[in-house]
Amino acid sequence: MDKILRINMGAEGGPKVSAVPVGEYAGLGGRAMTSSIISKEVPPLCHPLGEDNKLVIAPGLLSGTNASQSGRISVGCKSPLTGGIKESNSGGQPSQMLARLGIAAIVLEGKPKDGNFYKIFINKDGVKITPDNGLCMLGNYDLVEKMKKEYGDKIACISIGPAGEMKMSAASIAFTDMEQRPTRHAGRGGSGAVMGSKGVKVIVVDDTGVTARVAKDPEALRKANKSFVDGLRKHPVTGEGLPTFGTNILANVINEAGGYPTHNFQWGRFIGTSKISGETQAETEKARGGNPTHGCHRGCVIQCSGIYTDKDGHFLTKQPEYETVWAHGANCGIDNLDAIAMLDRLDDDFGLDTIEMGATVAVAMEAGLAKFGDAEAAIRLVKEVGKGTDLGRILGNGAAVTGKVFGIERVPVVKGQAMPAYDPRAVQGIGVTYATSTMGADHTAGYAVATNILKVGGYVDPLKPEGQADLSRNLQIATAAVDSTGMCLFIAFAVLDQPDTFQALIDMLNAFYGLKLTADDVVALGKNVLKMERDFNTRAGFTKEQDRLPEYFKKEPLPPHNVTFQVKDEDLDKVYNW
Amino acid sequence: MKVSLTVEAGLVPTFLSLLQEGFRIQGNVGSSVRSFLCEQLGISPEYVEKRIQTIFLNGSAVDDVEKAVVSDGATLSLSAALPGLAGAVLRKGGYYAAMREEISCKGEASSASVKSGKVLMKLFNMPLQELGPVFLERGVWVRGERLGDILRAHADAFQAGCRSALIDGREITFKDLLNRDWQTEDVLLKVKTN
Repeated sequence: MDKILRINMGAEGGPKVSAVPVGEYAGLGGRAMTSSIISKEVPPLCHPLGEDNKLVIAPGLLSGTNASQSGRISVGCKSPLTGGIKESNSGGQPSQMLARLGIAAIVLEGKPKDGNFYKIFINKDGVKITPDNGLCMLGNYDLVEKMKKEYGDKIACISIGPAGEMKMSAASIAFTDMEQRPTRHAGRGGSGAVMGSKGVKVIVVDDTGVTARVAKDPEALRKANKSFVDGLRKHPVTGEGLPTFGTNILANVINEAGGYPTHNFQWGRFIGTSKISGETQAETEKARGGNPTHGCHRGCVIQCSGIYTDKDGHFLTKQPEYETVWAHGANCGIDNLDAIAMLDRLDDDFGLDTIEMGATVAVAMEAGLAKFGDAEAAIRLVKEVGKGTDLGRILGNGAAVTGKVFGIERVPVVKGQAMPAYDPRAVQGIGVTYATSTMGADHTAGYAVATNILKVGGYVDPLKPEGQADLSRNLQIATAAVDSTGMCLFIAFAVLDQPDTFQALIDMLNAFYGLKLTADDVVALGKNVLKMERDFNTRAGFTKEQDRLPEYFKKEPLPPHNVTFQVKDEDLDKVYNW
Repeated sequence: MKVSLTVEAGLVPTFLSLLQEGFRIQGNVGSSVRSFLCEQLGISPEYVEKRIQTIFLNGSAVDDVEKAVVSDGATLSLSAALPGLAGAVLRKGGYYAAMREEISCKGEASSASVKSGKVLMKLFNMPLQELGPVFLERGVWVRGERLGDILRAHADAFQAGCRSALIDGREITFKDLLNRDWQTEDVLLKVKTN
């Protein structure tokens, strides 16, 4: 991956592309690449939908190789939702294809002067940018079908739906999966709106004629990959739980813990959880001819995705993830899997972040626009977003905007981004991550990490109050590092328990690039990424006051445990002390 | 009331939803979680240690299965290892346990006498699949109304695959079983395969 495609959408005479060497960004991938470019090149005070913002799409360091789990892609920008730096990532096929084409990043810059929407076609022969307003307001599903007819069935698509075209802050960017469906999304933070502001409706990628990237030491890569895959397969989470039940394996347990946000974060338990659990979902899919064990990209051995069919056995949507089932389910009081699947399908088609939409619909329910539990009403509200009605435009800009418009206090957001499916009053350490992450309320920012990483730089006593800040910090560092490799973050579960699996990951990096990285180097990478992001946010005007949960989490006890958020502000302020 | 069903093996998973919602078992209470699971329920200590990675007692996460006590009327939930930060945080004796201190089980083993009582059990994910059929064969107390829901939801499959149905030892047709008004009865359900 030796080139960056810089596409100036506002150039005189029309959009222009330059393929430039990676230069100062050499050796970076995924989140490290997107955050480096955004922090260096985007004025932090610019308008997120203006010409000075950039949209960076970057495969990971190991994407396009034969390394397993290496198909994640990162999207970076200044977020229209949070006003800070954003990296969101996605599965699907485009990462591997872009990497095989030698592309380390696509950078969309400027803003078209003519109001057109463009499609961009990338293959081994170059890049073609064509205006195509006939694609306007197409949902992602119809759009991809059109692109397949035009370019063949070997392509992958990176696209926005109507939500992105309308520049809504909850808009996602869709990435096609192995079946060429637009089911994988870089959901969080409104990157779809930025792509819309650049006038780009779809990027079509065709890597016909290119082969997998070749390692400096192919035999060492093969050996490290085997050890890595063996580690993933033997671990009970990556080898059994996730392929059997998908991420929604969490529903019953988080509910039992009393941390499953219900009816807009009013309670921590939902009475209908067993009807929408991963266990029930998997049985439903199997009974209907769907499939609860499926990979979102080639080379995935964890296979946590799935296929959800309707009662007649026809494809409806990909297996809804834990976050989606929670957001449109328990958080809205809905206990019907088919309704939740339909909402997932609508989100994917309109190009919307399912977490933000579920949180927004719940706020709307609290505002009286619908009753909690009314699935048909929820579907109607999301359809309003897709149509861009006045109400739809409010909802499509997320929970914070919706709460403000309708005068609701209980709006579960940090830095403007809606909280995911774990109530921070029940699991306070997750609250620390929600509050302090550079991304806004984000459940993936502080994931699991190998114990040897935790002990690098000194041992932390997790029983001390300040231990929670240290734990969160270490987890955020490790996540930033993993996000830069292009590896699926779910490898972290095996890596947490099996230091030799983490070593296999480092060995793969070393084998591919001919390096001698250690765990310390991986930590340093993660720290560097977080430093850049934190610095950008500071220059964008963020202070420690933004590293806080909404006040009501400290005051309103959460049933059934009746707990409030107890971590002190001064401890939150220690997370970035290193 | 006792309901005993003999069904085709393929129908057993349809009952597992009852086990994730919760089922009651009669046993000796007042002992530790470990003692309850291994000595009362016959689950091997190795399975408890290695396979059951997340345990809740009355909604609180258990770290020490020797210290947490199962009392009469308790709710005990069992799960395998889970993904994500939440999964790591909730894990029995996990490194990140401090991140959920407020919902951790603080129980101490006591010298209170062991006596007969009922416990509400919930099985999730892998333990549901692995232990569920065993519990069903031994017999579990569930709400009759919920059993009725399951039978009606899969009526065609049960019509074809239910080999025998007994209520308190007396044979009953599947049609009568399906149409029964369970009201608020709890039933002792036993499911075995032919």
